[in-house]
Amino acid sequence: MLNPKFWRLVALPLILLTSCSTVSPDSDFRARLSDLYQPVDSAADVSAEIRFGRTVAARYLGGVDGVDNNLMQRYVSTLGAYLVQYSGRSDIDFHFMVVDAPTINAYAMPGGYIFLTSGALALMQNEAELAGVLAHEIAHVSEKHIVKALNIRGLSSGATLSQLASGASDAFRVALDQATDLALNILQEDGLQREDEFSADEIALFIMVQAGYAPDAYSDYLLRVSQTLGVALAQVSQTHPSFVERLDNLASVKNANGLNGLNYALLADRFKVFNP
Amino acid sequence: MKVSKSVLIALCLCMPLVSWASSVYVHSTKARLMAEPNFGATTVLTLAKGDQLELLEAQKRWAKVRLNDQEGWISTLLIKEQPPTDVISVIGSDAISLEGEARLRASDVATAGATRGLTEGEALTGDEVSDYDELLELEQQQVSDEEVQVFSESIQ
Repeated sequence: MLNPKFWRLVALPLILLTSCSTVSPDSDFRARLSDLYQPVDSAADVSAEIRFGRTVAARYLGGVDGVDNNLMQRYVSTLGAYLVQYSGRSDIDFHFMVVDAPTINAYAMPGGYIFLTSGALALMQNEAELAGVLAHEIAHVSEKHIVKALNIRGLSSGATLSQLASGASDAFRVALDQATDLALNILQEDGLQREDEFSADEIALFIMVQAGYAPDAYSDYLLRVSQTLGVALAQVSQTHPSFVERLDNLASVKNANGLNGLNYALLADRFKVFNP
Repeated sequence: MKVSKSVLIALCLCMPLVSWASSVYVHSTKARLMAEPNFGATTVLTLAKGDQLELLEAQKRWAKVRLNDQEGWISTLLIKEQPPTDVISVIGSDAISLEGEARLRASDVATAGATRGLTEGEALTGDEVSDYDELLELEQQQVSDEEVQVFSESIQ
């Protein structure tokens, strides 16, 4: 027979503890919740992501120049900084640059390095369209699509890309070179997973509307790009799902989240001041 | 009296569990709390980074939460189960905290590179096609909170 003291000090609290646990959501609920939002990464993982992103961005900038227009660059950077406030990714500094390239595209490097081609900017008609494209790229960073595709982790997680910067063995330098090549290949040639692009489109709408921009502007821009004929269209299509699929997906997202008919900002006049 | 002590112990053990299970934190600088899970609904209030919310219900892109006595829906993109951290940067000479005991200084990067006669870019990539000068120019283009605030006044 159990000692009465055992009942008082151990068994009763355990029984009560078990009953209390029914107050909290059930385990299935928790499992579903964990799928809904990103976990907070360790500082090591975030540092590794930024270091890797810097390497990829520097390599990309080795082949392209920023547009020589400080006012335009400042305008894009300020809009980007404003949109980031609504991204849920507050643990890194984002950087935005318009690069001199006739192709129609934008690129999101890990760690918050975002590039927009002058060709893509030239097709835009207002600030809301620019916000949509930047928000799409911010979403790639906030969802860590490249990071997940290449399994970039910090010291605590097995793969140790951050060790590269601490003394850099030749083996790690080779690994970083290879990972950089893979990242640039994904960004410029193969494209991310289709689901990642759809997800980034969806999140872009959420960021836009939270920031006060008309979500229809993003669809308008994608439609205009799809109607643009030539080499540039072919190049952007290589890295994204078809525009028909993307526009269909956007329409579904707008219907499901009350995003139709919102009389939000377009700001064509301000856009034209910086992009005459 | 002794039974009451047992109850007290049990309750103390339960409280962190219940609290952990139902709290989420705002990770965006601002976040709109909506009356319904759609953007056509009324805005109940604007939440701020770090606000601790009681989680009541969750859907794919929306979570029903409570702050003090106000309930509403927030995009799940803007909340996480842990509080937000400070901005992490690897630029400059400040120490970078890595998980666990490991700590790494940016100066270590320069030192390691210098011992091999390499610049930072070369030390990190071993190539000659990267443009770290332009990258540094980009990184120095910081936009202040005040600029963003002035910029945003034309939007809303």
